[in-house]
Amino acid sequence: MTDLKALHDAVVDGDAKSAKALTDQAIKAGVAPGDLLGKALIPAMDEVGRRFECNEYFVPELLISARAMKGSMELIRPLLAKGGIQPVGKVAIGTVKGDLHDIGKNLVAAMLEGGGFEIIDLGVDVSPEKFVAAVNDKGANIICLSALLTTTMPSMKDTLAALNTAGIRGKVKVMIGGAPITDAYAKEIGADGYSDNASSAVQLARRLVGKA
Amino acid sequence: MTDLPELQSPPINRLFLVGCEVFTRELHAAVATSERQVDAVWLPKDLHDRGGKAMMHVLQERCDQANPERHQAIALGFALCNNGLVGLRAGRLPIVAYRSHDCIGCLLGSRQRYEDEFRSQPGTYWYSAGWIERSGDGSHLAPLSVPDASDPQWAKMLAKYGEDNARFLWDEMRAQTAHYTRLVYIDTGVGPQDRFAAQAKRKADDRGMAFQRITGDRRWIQDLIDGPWDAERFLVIQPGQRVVARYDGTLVGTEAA
Repeated sequence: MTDLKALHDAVVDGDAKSAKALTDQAIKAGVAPGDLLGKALIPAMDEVGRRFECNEYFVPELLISARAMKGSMELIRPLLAKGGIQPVGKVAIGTVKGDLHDIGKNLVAAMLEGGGFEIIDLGVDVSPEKFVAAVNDKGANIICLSALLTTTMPSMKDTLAALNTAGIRGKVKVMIGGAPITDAYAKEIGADGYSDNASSAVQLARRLVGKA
Repeated sequence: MTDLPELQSPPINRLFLVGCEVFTRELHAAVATSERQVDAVWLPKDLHDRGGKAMMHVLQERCDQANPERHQAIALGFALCNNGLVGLRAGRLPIVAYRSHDCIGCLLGSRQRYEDEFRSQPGTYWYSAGWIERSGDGSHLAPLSVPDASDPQWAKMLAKYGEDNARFLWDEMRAQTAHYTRLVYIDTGVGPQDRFAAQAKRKADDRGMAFQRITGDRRWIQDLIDGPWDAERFLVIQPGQRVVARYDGTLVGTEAA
């Protein structure tokens, strides 16, 4: 257990080198990949989220902890798949059509991955059709839409319309976020939820898939 | 397309202008030729980086400095800027603001033109006189990966996060323009436009972005001072009202404060 505690702390502290080395050691020592995820990485990212909510951590701390977590995940991910360990949910995430600003999107993706979700990162300037395809072809059960500008916000509505037209709106939960986005806008366009930061996005996603 | 009736009587002779420094040259040009008298204060162009609420509080504080004995309306030289107007209240004087996503629409002269440009090439980084001469070294197009050792922000990050994480954060923060492919300079015709355009072109060349110089249109910016304040281009916040976001294409509206 000491290995897991050290890995947990390395992620919370944003120490990417130690996190990777500790993960490597733990895997070689035969620690189950599910334990590395469930007993070290997920609790660590939850703790990072808690500190962010209490204003002990800010965006830079989220970024460096997410970086440490991702380094560790790169080693664990292939083993999880091999061991048949199921993710909490499958998230297709991207910035909407016309929007090229991905810092917020990347941070949310990292926090969700650290929260036990599988991430299908569709990148930037993602058309409604690509989101539809992520549900149909890759089995995403959550879609996360990001927009930084009021000019690109209408693409969120277009994406929801495309999901409706494709007849798959009922199969997927839609979360939205970004600087100009509000809860009122989420309700207006019929999204399932809105989060104003990357940490609460994890809690929202868990709630939406009934795993809070 | 005329002034709103309640603003025609009594006639507006004197405005209190709270301007974004991005429009310094264009609004000064408007003031210089206007029938109206204008008292102006200027605010930094990066207010939108502070987030909607923080921006609104700064605007509110400045608008509240208007003198109802001296001014008949407040001309707010700001656009929505990611909800930076939302929540703003008009006290004893009406406030008039641009009904625009941001300054780029105003500099181009119409929302339609901006939205057309945006749709055709979303990866466009915009510059104008204000964005060039008031950028300093804090430009978003500062080179990647080479932190300037004398930059106080870098020194602070280095001390706080250690070199490995500080470098990572530096690149992350500077990577926000990574997906831009075109840099457009909007020539509004006031001031040394050739010099500013040349500076913008150098920035484009440094980043390997395509460069284009296009002609702006100062009419919208000018009309904040002269009117008419038609509802298509301007939001008029009457005393006792505050700004709300609208999602129906009008961008902003008002409600009782």
